[in-house]
Amino acid sequence: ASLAVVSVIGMTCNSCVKSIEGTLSDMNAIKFIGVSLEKKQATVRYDSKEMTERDIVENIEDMGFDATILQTETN
Amino acid sequence: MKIIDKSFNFSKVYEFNVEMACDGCSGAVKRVLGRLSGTQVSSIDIDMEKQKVYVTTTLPSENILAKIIKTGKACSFVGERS
Repeated sequence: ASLAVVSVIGMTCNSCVKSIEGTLSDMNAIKFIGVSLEKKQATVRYDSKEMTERDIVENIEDMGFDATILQTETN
Repeated sequence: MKIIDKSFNFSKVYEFNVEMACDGCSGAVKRVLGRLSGTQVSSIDIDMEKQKVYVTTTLPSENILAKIIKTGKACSFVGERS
């Protein structure tokens, strides 16, 4: 699975964090997601055959936040 | 004589209940709907106490509701405000 670190701008409280974690973890292509309010980042482990980091950014932006890819590792 | 702005005469104001715990949540709703703005959405008003979102738009309410649902927040369509 690949790993992506995404900056997420616009989160101000824990319910924003929970809604992102909740919505993305429901997707079977996403194996793990950890969102840090303090660091304004999301760390996502995903199946790069089913999903690209572009999809991850789009999903987070659909939720009303601004997302940009900081780092990706595909192995 | 009342001047009616013909360019938006077919746009309607839709009322939605949206669960927003904090300003970040209302900001998220504004940002998502803001992306539609321009000719299709002319105004977005959010009432945090009543947990309401009022959207003036030419789009059907289903499109707006679909956008809000995607933000992961509990929401429902109330109706059209006259």
